[in-house]
Amino acid sequence: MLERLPDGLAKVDFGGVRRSVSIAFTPEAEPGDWVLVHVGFALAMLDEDEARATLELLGEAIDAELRA
Amino acid sequence: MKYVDEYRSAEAAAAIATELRTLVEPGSHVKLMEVCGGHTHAIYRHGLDALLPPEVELVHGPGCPVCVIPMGRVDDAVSIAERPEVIFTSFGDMLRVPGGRRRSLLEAKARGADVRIVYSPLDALAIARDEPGREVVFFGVGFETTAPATALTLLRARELGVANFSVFCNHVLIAPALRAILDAPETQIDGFVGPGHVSTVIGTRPYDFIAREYGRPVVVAGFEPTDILQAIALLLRQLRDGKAEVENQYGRVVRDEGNPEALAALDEVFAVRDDFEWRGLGPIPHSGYRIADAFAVWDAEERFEVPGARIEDPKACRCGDVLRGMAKPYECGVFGTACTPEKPLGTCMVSSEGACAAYYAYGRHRQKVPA
Repeated sequence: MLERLPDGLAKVDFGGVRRSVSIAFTPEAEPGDWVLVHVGFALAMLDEDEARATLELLGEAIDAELRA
Repeated sequence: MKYVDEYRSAEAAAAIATELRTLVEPGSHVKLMEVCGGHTHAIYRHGLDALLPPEVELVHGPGCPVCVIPMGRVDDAVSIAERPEVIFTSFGDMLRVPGGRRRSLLEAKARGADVRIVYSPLDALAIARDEPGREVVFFGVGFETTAPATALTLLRARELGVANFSVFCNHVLIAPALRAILDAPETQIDGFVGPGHVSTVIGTRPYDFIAREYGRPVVVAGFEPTDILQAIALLLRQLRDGKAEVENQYGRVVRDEGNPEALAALDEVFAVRDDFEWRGLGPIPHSGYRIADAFAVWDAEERFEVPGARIEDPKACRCGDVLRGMAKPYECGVFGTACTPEKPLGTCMVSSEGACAAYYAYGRHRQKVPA
């Protein structure tokens, strides 16, 4: 998310393509946050701690494979 | 860090694939349903089916919003779209879905109906504000993922006093459909890869009944290859240990309680229908949303006369069996011949989330039917 706009909208960068989306369902989203957007609405904010936890599990799977 | 590529590591996928082989009893048969059409496509796009042990069969679920719309509702949409005063707005993938008279919205458009593709229902509302002399109707299709967008658009229409806008509501609920599948004696599913994006809205609790009442595990999963493989590993681990729990592999965007703001909007704008007809699954109790009485002036079914006919699916098309996990797309006689993405007979071939479209696009049509 790049910036907040009036009327509950925000400008979001989709890997280069920029569009305004509604943040009515993620009112706490701030510029710099990652949001999951569906049909022009941000439905969820990405929880970076949870995202890293999933990646750590993947890392463990690789380690286990290497040890095997 | 975009939290996408990291979940596409071939190394991690191979490691999980090795683990999967240790989690199944050789010679056993485990049937897992990926509920969401987005998962079906990710599986075939990334070739994940080839990484699974032979004991694991993936069955494709009803989580494809376009696929489950019955033909009668398409006819209703076409009849609204053909009215001269109407601008009919829809997501693009509904346009090629054939109705009962084999006529789609796209064909209606070719005959002169003003049918327009929108990216968001808010775009439809913007058209209504730009063209106050026309009636703008939005074709509301989709699960609880999309329904909040329609709900918020109607809240906005009320706030702005837009009178020439209405919604033809076909939004559906995922949990009643899963119950219908669990109740069907012919489909015995051992565990479910739970839908990811719908769960950002409804959370994980609506699946509790699957574990509690039916004793089947559910793992809500993300859409990247390692997400799906990890979810399958978690399901197989639960099955091995004799457990049936609801787990959340997609914690980076799915909270157990869902999205409270979106749920509040659904609650305010919609009411649950007594039953709603699903393609292939038939009428399912409490499985569809209608527009609540307080918003009835924005309900296209109140504003326009619709035929409301129930139309049987064409006999040759086995979409219904595919949606219930009873048949694989290549087991259908017209798959890839009379029914292709360019000229679809059934919805499962139309939608970008349909199982037939996935099998067709990723070359799974030459497979032999397993004996």
